[in-house]
Amino acid sequence: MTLNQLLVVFRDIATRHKQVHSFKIAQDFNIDAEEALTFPCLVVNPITSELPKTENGYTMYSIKFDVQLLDLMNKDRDNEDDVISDNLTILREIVNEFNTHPYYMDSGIDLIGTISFRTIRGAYDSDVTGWRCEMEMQSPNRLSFCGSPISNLTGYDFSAASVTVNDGADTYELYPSDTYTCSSGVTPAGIAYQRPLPTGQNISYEVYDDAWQLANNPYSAPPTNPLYTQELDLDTDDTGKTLLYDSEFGNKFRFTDVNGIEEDSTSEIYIIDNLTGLGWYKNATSLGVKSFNNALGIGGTLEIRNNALLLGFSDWKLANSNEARSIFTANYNSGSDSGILISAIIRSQYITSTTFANNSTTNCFRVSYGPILSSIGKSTAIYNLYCRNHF
Amino acid sequence: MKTINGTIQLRDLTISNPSYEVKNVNDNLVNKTCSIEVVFDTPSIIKYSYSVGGFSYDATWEDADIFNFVETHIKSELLIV
Repeated sequence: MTLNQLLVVFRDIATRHKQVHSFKIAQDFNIDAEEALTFPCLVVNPITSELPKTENGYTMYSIKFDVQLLDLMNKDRDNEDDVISDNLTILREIVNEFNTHPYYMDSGIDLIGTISFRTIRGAYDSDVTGWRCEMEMQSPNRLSFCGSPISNLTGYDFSAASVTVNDGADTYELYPSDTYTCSSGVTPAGIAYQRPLPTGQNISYEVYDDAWQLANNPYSAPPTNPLYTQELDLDTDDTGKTLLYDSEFGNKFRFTDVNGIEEDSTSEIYIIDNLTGLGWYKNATSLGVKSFNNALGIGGTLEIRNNALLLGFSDWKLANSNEARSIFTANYNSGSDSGILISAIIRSQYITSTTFANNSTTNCFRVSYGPILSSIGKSTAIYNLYCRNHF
Repeated sequence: MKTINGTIQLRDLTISNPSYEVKNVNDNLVNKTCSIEVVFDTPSIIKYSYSVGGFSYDATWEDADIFNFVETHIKSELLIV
């Protein structure tokens, strides 16, 4: 715990104690400065801190606080004894709270040493009296360097044997392997996908077009602490069909069906790209030729197919220019090679949902082998590429 | 940027007191026809394009006439409340 957190602990107790009406962090000469105090008032001032060395290292640290409980007496001081008695009781109750409440024990906060109280009579103001003491609070000093905002050393390989250290609260293992890796303390989970870049289109020209999908059907956010960001293993396979890390299915096939089986010319018509997290409708031929204007919009063929639950899904989209390009390869030859990495998508050009900004009213982008992006009329019918956000 | 008081229905979107700008004006000088691209702000991260197309004009039209025409068109075609 930091000093601030310990001060918050004091403030919290002052707030919760029904006989304490105010709290102040101040040195003596500042206690009644700036504002009038409401009594009884708990005043705390940190004065010293120690990191005692033990055989296990600097496992704990302590901060000593000067603590005062001040209250106002009657003008004729006829209740001075009562006030002093009550204030001592309150301070003892605070000590008991720290010392016995499970929360503080679970948090590793501990009051240490003997606490000696002494009265303050007529201090600060002749009508104010109370008690003061010193409370030394101890909490664990986390041993690992991992939590420090210090860049890791470079050029040094941790090859020391494992060292197990117990700080009284927890056990730590330092240098547990040949190379020590700092852990964030959060268990990694999930895969971050390489999403196709946004096309930059921020104006929607038709319902379900590129910009509409950006606002209404965005990619899911990546995991907070992913296992890895998925990449291609181009050293092993320069065609772009092999992943560097395991997919959700535990293999390295980039294109698979929903069971993780590698895509081939005979596989199912729904194919997952485990690099981008997109799912693709493989049989583009069966979708027919549709123009941008006919495919998109209310009542367009995309909406009709979503309403009909094409392959059981209602969130298909016409691929935008970057999504479409993500499944093309530049290693296109000719003939029956479509330039598309998913087999059996054999058509050589497709309209996309991205409008051609230079002629936004009439033209959209098409993608063709190469991959080449070019402009085509929004009323010109060619083949469509459907995809959806699978992951 | 201009604003129209009221609510418009533009494709799948209802927008109250929409703000818009006249973005592109495509002029056919031979036929004296014109198409105009209007872009509306929306509550989301994107904007909505709307095309006012194919209307005729005469040689006396100035910019202000185009803006007035667009506003009148939006009010008559899109305004629902």
